[in-house]
Amino acid sequence: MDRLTVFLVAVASVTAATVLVLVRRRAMRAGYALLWLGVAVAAVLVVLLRPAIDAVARAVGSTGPSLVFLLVSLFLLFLSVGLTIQLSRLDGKVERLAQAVALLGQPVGPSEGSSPPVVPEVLFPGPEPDVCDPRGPDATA
Amino acid sequence: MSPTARPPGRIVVVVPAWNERATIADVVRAVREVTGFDVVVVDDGSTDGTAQCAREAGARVLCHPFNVGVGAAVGTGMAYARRLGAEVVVQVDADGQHDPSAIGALIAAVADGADLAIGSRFEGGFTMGWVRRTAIRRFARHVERRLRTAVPDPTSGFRAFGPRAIDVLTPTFPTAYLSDTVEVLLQAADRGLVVRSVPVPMRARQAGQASAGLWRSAGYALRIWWILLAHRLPAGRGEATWTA
Repeated sequence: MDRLTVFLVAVASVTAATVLVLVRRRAMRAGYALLWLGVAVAAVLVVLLRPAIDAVARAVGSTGPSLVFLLVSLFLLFLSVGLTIQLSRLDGKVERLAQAVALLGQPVGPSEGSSPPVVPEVLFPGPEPDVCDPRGPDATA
Repeated sequence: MSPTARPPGRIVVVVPAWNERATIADVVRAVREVTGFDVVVVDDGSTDGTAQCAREAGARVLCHPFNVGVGAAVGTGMAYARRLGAEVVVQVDADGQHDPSAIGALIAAVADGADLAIGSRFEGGFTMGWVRRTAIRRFARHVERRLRTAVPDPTSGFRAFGPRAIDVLTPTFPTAYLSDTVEVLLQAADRGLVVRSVPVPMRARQAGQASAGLWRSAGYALRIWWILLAHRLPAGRGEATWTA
């Protein structure tokens, strides 16, 4: 085993171990963790299949290392775009949830103003003063 | 009013507010005294007691659990107004810049057939720095090309929504600053809503400061500019929308 092989196998093992710990600590969901386990397996495969990769690289007019580098870069690019899409979707959901919470907190009643707050201020107590003073919450009467 | 005009049904005034404690109570009281309409204040995650001030002034208050964005506040207010059975929603800023006596002119435009009436500050002699003025002119030109009607002040947050606008715009009301005013007009254009500009007098801010500094504003401007460009493509689904 040459040094590169040792290095890659070590990286793969550390990745897999870290992911397992994160899943056990519930810091990462199992679904996402599967992706990174796949990455660790792929790293080991790269080591095992080096002759094959070199052959493919020669066939497309490249060299093994630069071909692997290109593919890994593309993988990371697509992954970040995908994560940004997921993030946007989550942003939208969080916004809608905040709005739904606000609507829950103020029922549609016949009352003219001054309905008692129901949900938000109970769940999220803010530094609201007892008396409304336009000078600010710290102003004393 | 044209002969086909009819008096609108229930009217609800929606005031998006974020840390506007100094002015919110006066705004709520003034609107209620001048118009007598229901006032709904949507507190967008204020930490200064805006909600309580508004409630004591007689408004119905909805509270976002955290700051989401002015457009989200308007959207929440529209959804709530719809549940109240509103046929017309009037949007008024919480900082006291909008003169409640101009609300009648906005509603008249809606009663006269407009789906969306935009209060325009510029006919009233309102002045602002040239950077802002130039940016708004650029937005206006872009929006006007799509709407095929004059909208000199597309960033104005003083507007009235008719029944069709409420139904069409509430489910996808854009969240962020500038999107809530400018991007909505593009959605209105997409959905064939009739937009009309109405000259309104404008007062200086009563207190507080504009929600964004120079760099932040530049960021918002860049963002909305990019949205204006993207709007030339056909729309798809994707954003989370209201189901109720």
